[in-house]
Amino acid sequence: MATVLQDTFTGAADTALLDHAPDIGSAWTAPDASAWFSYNPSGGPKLDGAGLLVYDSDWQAVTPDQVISDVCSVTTTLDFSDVMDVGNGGFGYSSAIQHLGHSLDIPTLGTPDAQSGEVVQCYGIATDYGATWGWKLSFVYYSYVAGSLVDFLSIDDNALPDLITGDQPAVAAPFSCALKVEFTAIEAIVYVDDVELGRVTRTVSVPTSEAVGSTLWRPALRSFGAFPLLRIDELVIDGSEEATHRHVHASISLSGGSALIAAVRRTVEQELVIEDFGVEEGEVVLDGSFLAELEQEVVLAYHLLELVEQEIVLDSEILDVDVIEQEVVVLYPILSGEPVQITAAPTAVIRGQVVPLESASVAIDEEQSAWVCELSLVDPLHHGLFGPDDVFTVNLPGEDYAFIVDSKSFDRRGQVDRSAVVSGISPSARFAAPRAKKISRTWGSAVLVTDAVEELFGTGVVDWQVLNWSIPAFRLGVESQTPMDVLQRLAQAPGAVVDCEPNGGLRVRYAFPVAVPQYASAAPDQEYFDAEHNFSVSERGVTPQLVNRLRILDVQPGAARDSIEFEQDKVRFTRGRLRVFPQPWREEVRVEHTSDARVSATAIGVETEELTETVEVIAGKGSVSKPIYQVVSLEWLFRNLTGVAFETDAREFSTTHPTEKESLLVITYRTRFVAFKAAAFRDAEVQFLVKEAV
Amino acid sequence: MTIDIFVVRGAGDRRGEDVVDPLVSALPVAIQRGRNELDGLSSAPQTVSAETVYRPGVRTGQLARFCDSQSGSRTMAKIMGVTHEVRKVGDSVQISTTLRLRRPTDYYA
Repeated sequence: MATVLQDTFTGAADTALLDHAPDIGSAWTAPDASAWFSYNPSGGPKLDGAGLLVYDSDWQAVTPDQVISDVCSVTTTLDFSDVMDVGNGGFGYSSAIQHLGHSLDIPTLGTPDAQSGEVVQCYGIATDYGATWGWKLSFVYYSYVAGSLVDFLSIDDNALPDLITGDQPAVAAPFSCALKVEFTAIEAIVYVDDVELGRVTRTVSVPTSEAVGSTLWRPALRSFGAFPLLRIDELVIDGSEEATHRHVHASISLSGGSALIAAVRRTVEQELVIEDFGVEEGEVVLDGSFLAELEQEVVLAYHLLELVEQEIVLDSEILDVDVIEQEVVVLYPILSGEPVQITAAPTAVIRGQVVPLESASVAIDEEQSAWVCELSLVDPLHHGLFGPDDVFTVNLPGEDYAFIVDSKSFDRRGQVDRSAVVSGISPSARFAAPRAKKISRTWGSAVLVTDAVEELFGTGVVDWQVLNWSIPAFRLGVESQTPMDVLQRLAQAPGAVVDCEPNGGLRVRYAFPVAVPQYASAAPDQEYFDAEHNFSVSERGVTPQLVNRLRILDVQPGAARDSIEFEQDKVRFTRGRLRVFPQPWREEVRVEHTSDARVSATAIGVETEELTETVEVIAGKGSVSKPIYQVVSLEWLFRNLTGVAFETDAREFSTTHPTEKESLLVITYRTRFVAFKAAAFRDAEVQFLVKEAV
Repeated sequence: MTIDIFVVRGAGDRRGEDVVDPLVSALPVAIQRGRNELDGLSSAPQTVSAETVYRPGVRTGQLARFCDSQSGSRTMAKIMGVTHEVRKVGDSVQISTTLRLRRPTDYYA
């Protein structure tokens, strides 16, 4: 028999009924009872006919018994633990409950026999210390939809029925008890292909200590009762599985058996996407492959990528450095297992700012006249501090190295995969290409080497540690060369090289400061032992063309020969002057002839003459008509071959330009000779001979 | 004065090409030029590369003596090049000096 439970409704509560219907799976929280419905027990507890009215979505009254038989079970327990204390802590009771008029299986699961609206009465008996306590409960049992409702009528304590015999209670004082009603309902039955996989149940417990005389328990039961029978009509699972994660999409369609359930179904019927069964819903684990896929498919904002990489920690650090290489390269001496390490990281200082370095190398070779360095910066953004030719220092233990910026590079392979490298060179590079201005000049007078160097570099810049000597006029000349080119050429003359100090200072030293045959007895500047100093040593031998004899010259040797010229007198044709050009030069020469006694040659003395000629220079060599005693001036026509070198009193000369070898030269030079006064006779043909003075 | 000299080491029976340099205009200069030229040409050199502990003050042109514990030999060589290298290894820093050396052999011309 179905019984429609009537209650007092307010207009506002009508729509709240479904709005407050709980969602499947959500935790139940007691709604505001006043908003749920209004129950005003006037004149005491309601009896039959004054219950609740339940509507479906169409606001048609439903008959609770339509579904209750399938889904609901009721457990009613009399619980005295909270309210009954007998004796000094000892507690025990036995209870017997009987229905009066109806049997109510308590706590039997299943269909209660009681019908909604019927009055249920039961008795309870407690025995302790030889006394028997009894009570009688009367209540109305209401049921609707999937729940049950109990409306208390009265608790008539100590009113034992006749059937209970024995001692009467020793104490007849009134007491209260608790009636806890538990409702267990099926929330859902899961079917797949009509096979029941399992049931989801839910239990609501309402102790009467809270519920009696209050309406708070009613919404609990009401909400509980609104649980529909849900059936999973379709459960579609598809997806893919990777090595570490499963990506599963499940589509669940629910349905129920009543109009009310249909109303609820609209709330819950939706596609549920479950990313991973292995984790709780809502938690997504982003792994590297997922991010990579995401980046490929979706254009993400820069800041988002940065944020993701910061949080996920991509493999940029692995790409930055070769961990294996770093771990393997451990330096230790050949005879020792103790690695040699220091703890101070290298730094560079530019404009007073200290720049930490990831790595640094500082190097020089004898062929170079400058130290060079290559620095890898810890913070790549520091590369902005280094401008062209900016001065900075690299601090190594025990020594600081001065540099100017030679070049720098900045590589950016990813958001966090960045590197910056700065290359430096000693400040002495300012005197060399490509930084230095090229000069063209020929020293027209004899010059000391150190004076020429000071003229080019300034005072005190170059520490000249080798011989100093005078270079004759017109031998030192440069054309479009840097000061460093000139310095290296000057240093080469005595067998020296240009060296550079860590502070950038230049010095000129012999290529072999100690002669090789003296190595055995020389004191070393540095000494290295396997046990303390040597990490590794490798050597390679070569077989060169050995030389133990060399000829050193300042000019190419010419053919040495004396020459003599006759200059006829323009008035007295039988008279003239003989000019003897001895080569090699000597003043003690005499002139003989092979003619008769009318011919004579009388010495006048040594004379000089200044001549100007335009000569051709080919392959760096040229010649003039008279032996060169002194060069007065040089004028190169178009191509400057700088200076000339010559053997005194030779007609040949060579030019000093290292590369250019051809040009035209207007040369003014002074020649010297031994003059003789000669006399002969008319139409004479005379042979004069230069002879050594006796 | 014209510079025209011969420099000889040992037997002097292997003559090299003439060295003509107009800036060699004084006899002492010519002698030093010849001496340094012969230092480079009169013995068969070995090229040595040695990675050693870091040491400040090392310069090219200096003489370095290496003591080989295996052969017991001590050899002298001229430093032709210097490289100081600093690198991080884990939390520590390693620094070393690599020398490029020219070591004459006992084989003289």
